[in-house]
Amino acid sequence: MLNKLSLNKINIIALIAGISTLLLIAISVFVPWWQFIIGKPTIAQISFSPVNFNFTLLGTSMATPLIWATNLACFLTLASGGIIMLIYSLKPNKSYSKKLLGFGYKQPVVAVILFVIELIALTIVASSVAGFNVPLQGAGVLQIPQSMTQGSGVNVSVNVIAALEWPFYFAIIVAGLCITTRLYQPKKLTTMEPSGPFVSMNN
Amino acid sequence: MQTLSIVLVLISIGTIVGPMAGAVIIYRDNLSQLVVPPQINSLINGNNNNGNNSNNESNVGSGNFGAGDGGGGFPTTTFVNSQINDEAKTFTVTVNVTNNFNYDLTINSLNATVESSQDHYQLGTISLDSPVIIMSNQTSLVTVSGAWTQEAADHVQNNFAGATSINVDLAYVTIDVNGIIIQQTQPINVGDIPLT
Repeated sequence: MLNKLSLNKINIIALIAGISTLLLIAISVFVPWWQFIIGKPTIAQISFSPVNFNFTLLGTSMATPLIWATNLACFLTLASGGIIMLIYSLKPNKSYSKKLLGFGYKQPVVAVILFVIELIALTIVASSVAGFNVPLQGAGVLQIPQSMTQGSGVNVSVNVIAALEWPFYFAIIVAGLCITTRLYQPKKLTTMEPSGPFVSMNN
Repeated sequence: MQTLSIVLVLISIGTIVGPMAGAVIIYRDNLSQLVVPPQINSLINGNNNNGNNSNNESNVGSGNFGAGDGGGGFPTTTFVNSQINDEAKTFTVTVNVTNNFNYDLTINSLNATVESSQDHYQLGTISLDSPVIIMSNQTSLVTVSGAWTQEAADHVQNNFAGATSINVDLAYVTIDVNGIIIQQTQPINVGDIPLT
């Protein structure tokens, strides 16, 4: 009976969302959300997730401190969101719960939105500035613009493969769970808030 | 409530500003290193571990790559031998290709048309026998096979009668290395090929 009461006080969706957010972080460190492979066999590779960006050229990893710092910032932001979501899930009916939820649910949602914006921006910038038509998904041939090979008397094209990996779709699910938790919150408060004579009995 | 709001705002700011500020402080003496990886700096500075090419080596490409940690320059080729089979109207050219990168290279294909420099008559074609993997910092033999047609032989006999050699170009050269396809738009002069 006590266990049942305790379970009722937990926001299950928020709990799943919080755990999923932390799980997503752990996965995203090792498995990219988006991968871009240049050459066949691979000569260069970009592995990109909000918490890990890796660019490898000819087997050499090229890392910049700024990107590393950005990844760490995303990692900490997502982690704080996940932890706060977990705290909220355990204490969904406290006066401060709404503030916790308001902070926690946004982090994965913002991460997914920013990631999509970055990918779209990447393709637009690559196309408009360098003239590369970078595919977001699937195989293709990337034609190096004539302006870049001008004077050398060669046309250069590269086989590329781009793929949105499963953690990206998992991130969308996590973001969906977070939004659901946020939408579910007012109902939960309404249904669980005691009223009338129960107020004095419970308190 | 007020305290919680402040804490959440501080978390928001701290998680973003903290790592950024940390990186800036660490690299405050050389801020360009924040954005440009050291490997790229090596590329820009043109560090080349293996840029000494002897006279009988040709450097594929227009300049030294200076790949730093990624390698020591473009692959170099050295002629080994060639064989001609008059009856089959085929020939093979074998070259040694040295991969100066610290990365395995795969030559997937190589195709070209051999034509006379004088009248641009197509004498035959050449192609790579099979894909060749050249391990990093290793040298591999690459054999290119070619064939000419009876029409080409007749053309040479009719138009270059008495000549001991013919100057030829390689046209429509297409090479696929690790999926990077390079198409030569201008013919490459190979030089004189002996006819006897």
